[in-house]
Amino acid sequence: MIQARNLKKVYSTEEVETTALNNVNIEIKEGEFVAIMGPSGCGKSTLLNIMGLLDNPSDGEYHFLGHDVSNRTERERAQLRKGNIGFIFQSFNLIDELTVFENVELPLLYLGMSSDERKEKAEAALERMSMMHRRNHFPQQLSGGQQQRVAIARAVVANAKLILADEPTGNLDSDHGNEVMKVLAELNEQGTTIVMVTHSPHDADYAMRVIHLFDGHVVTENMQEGFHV
Amino acid sequence: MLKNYFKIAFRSFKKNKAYSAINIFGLAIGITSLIFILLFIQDELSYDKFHENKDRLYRVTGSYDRGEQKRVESALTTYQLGPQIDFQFPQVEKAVRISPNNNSNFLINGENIHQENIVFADSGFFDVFSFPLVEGDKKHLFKVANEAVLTQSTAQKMFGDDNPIGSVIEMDGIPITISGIMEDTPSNSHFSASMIISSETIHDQYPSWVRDNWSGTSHYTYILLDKNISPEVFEQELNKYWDSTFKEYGDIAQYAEFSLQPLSKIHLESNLVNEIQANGNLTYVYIFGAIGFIIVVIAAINYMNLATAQSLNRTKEVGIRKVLGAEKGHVKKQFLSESLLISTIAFVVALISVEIIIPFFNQITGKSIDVIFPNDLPLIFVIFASVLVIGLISGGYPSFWLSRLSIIRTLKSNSLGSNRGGELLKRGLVTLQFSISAIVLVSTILISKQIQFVQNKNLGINPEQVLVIPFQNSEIANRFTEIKEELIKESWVSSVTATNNPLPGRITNWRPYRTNGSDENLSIPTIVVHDDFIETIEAEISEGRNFSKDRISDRTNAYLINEAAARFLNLTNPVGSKLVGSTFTGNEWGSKDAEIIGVVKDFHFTSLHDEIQPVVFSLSSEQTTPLNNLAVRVRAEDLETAISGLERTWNTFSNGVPFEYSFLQDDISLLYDAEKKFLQLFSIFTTLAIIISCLGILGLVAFAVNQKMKEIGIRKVLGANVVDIIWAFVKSYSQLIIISNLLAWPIAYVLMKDWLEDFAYRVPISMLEFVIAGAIIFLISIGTISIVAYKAALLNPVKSLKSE
Repeated sequence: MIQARNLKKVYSTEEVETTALNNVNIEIKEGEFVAIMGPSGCGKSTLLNIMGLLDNPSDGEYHFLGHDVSNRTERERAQLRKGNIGFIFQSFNLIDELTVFENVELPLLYLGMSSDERKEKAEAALERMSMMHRRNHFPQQLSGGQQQRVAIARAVVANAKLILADEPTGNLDSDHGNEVMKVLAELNEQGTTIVMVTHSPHDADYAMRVIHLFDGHVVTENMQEGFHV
Repeated sequence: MLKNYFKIAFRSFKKNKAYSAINIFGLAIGITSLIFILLFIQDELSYDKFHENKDRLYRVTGSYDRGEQKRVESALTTYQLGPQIDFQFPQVEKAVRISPNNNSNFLINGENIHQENIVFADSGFFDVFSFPLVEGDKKHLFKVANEAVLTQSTAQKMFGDDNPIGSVIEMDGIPITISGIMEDTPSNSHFSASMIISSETIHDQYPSWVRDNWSGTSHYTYILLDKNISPEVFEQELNKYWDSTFKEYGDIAQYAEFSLQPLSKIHLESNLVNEIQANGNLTYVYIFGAIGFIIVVIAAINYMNLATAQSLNRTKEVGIRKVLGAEKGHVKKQFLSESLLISTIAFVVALISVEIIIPFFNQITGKSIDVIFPNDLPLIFVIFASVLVIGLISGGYPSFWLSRLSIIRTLKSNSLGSNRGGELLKRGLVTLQFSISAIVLVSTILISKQIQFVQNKNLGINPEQVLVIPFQNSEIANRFTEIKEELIKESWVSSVTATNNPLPGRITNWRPYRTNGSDENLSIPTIVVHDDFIETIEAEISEGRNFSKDRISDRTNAYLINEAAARFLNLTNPVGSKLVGSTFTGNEWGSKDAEIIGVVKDFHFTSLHDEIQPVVFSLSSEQTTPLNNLAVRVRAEDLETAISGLERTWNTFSNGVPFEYSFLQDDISLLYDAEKKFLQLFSIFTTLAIIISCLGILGLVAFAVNQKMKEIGIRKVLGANVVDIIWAFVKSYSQLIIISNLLAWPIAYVLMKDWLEDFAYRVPISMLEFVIAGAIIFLISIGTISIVAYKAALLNPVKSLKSE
């Protein structure tokens, strides 16, 4: 599903150049659950952004679903992203002015679906995350765990093949965190590929494979015990 | 999709109530002003456009050489012109003379009714002009004398619900039959009338100087020109004919030069002597047009600035939307539709405000504009279209900027802090806004200063406590001496006089004069006054002596002149000089070989727009034109007793003609009515411009404060106090405000210099007005900024630091 070769990402401001990723090679197959770990500033989020087609690498090749997407325009990336990739963030990133239902419905709107179809799919996704009873609430009226479940519903509503999660439990207490991890594991079992950035070894345990980044390099790739590719 | 945009727009309005209110309110003020200004302009431009024949309808005006430095451009022509044109020029379909009479008294069913605004008109009046008749046949109207057409209001006033057709009323003993009813003259006609009476009716009453004078100025002449003749060609033909035909009637006739004025241009472009009614002013239409445009620009800038500032808080939302598949186009559309929504709401608010404010607007402008919705759908449509354009333009920048943001940056933090290009644009626009505010404020201050100046300027007379009473008819005028005798017995009367020329008013009787030994005749405006004139108006004699009641010879052998006349006649020692003049009774010319016995200090007869005319004062006698106005100086203590006493005396002499009076002071003040209305409107719009600009800066600072919460927190942790923090904000904006004032000053100077040129006597433009305007704007805006900054400075730093 994902092949990255010699990925490089350099951020430059007027005076300093920062290399966020250097020579990164990664391959992720469909159905995998991969965790990316490493200290702050090692390039985890940058890697996730490139994988999620939110950003282009400065150098190197990146293939997503067989397409070379290393150097696409924002518009092309958006087209490919829609419906294929779902995102989950540490801070949930729900739109405060929209209700739970409307937040979940949003990706479908940009896919141009009819309102009936949107209603059906959004309700199914909320049902799946057990959030139907909260459909008319606004994000601030929910607990952090609930908000993240809504965010997950939103990530899966368009049947994304790949879910990218950036520290999904970072803002949650351990109970809610576990809940979220269980949901992700379930999704993975049902066939969704998941790539997750995390600081937490506990969360990483849910993954099949852990990639360790340090200063923009992949340092180790561990298969987790009990998992086989 | 659109539904989603509007939904989120509404919720974000609700969430940011203050911001939305400022935005909608500011824009609504702008649109409301725009609508009023458009209504004003539309009404001004609509004058006389309702006449079916407007494209070939002209007023003939005359330019006359009266021996003054400049030719006199008058709206009036001789009584002879109309019939001559009708007779000599087949290319003129019809010529119509009209002559307004502002005061007449009618005997209707035994009751005396005073009626203003009467117009005498030739037959054909209703063919040339399109004043719709409700009853009567225009083909047959006014072919004979003693016919009148009443407007509906006048008919109601005179006859109530009875049908007046066929009724006979009496005007100064002349019986007049009502033969038609017309609709009231519309307010956008350059002359109004309460009733039209056939000219024939009073033909015999005119003195010979009206009937037989080839260069007189007594009537307004309108012509309906044939379709195939250009006005320029006709003008030439008319002047050629006049010159060649009337030269033999003495040397004065050839001095008339006629021009044609398209009817629809009279209201805005004509500013002649003896206009039938006060006209509008094209300059004011331009000025208000510019102000309307400016206010809308200020409001749009505001909106744009606030929307851009506000959009900083929406970057995260944009980021999320983009992650979820939104493309640039989606984001642009979303923010543009929000902007359109706000403009539409503001538009509706503006429409409602307009409907509420219209009566006040009419009061100030003296117009009678109806509610516009749904009467004026085309105008509403035009305004709505411009509102949408405003929405698109002002929402354009923020939506463009937001749509281009990189997703990564937007998701990283709640806000993006700085947007350098946007910041520069914002500051530029704020500067522009305050420059405009400063320009209009300086102008307002200067305009009001000038108006105060003209009202308080020492006119050379004391107009307070002087009542002016028009005689209304010759019978009363003839009894002036008796009236005066009665009046001076009263304790509340200080002095009594009478004049032939209205006061205040330009003197329109020119008489030829020759000085010692010279054989050149010089034309000088002449006023006939009765005894005690100088005393009554409290003018000053600067040389020589006043007319004396004890010297009978003063009636026939003495002149007073004013200083301007002494200069005009080139007399270094005027007192004692001989002046050979003439007298005219209205029917008969005579000569008056007299001595200048004194010089009157120059005083203003008319508004300060005009320079003081040279004037010769001649004492009233058998040989002079009849007196028209009584002027009474009363003692200050008891005005009410004075007025009722005057009325009592009047009634014993007036034979039922109702008592009419005005205070000289008020009449003078009325001369500046147009300027005062202009000032009123101008001040309102200035206030609005400043309010909108301040709303804008209020919104901007509020958002800047929001953006800088963290900075404020850090500064406070490091020891900054409240004043330091307020100062930081004030400093960054005060520069802008100072710059905008400096930019505004030269522009305001040029504009006001131009406006003041219109006055012969004007206030000097001094630095003071600019500094005052600058200070006002500075204080208001800095005050606004401080209030917002003060609230932020009081916040607990723990809270603001945590929020990041």
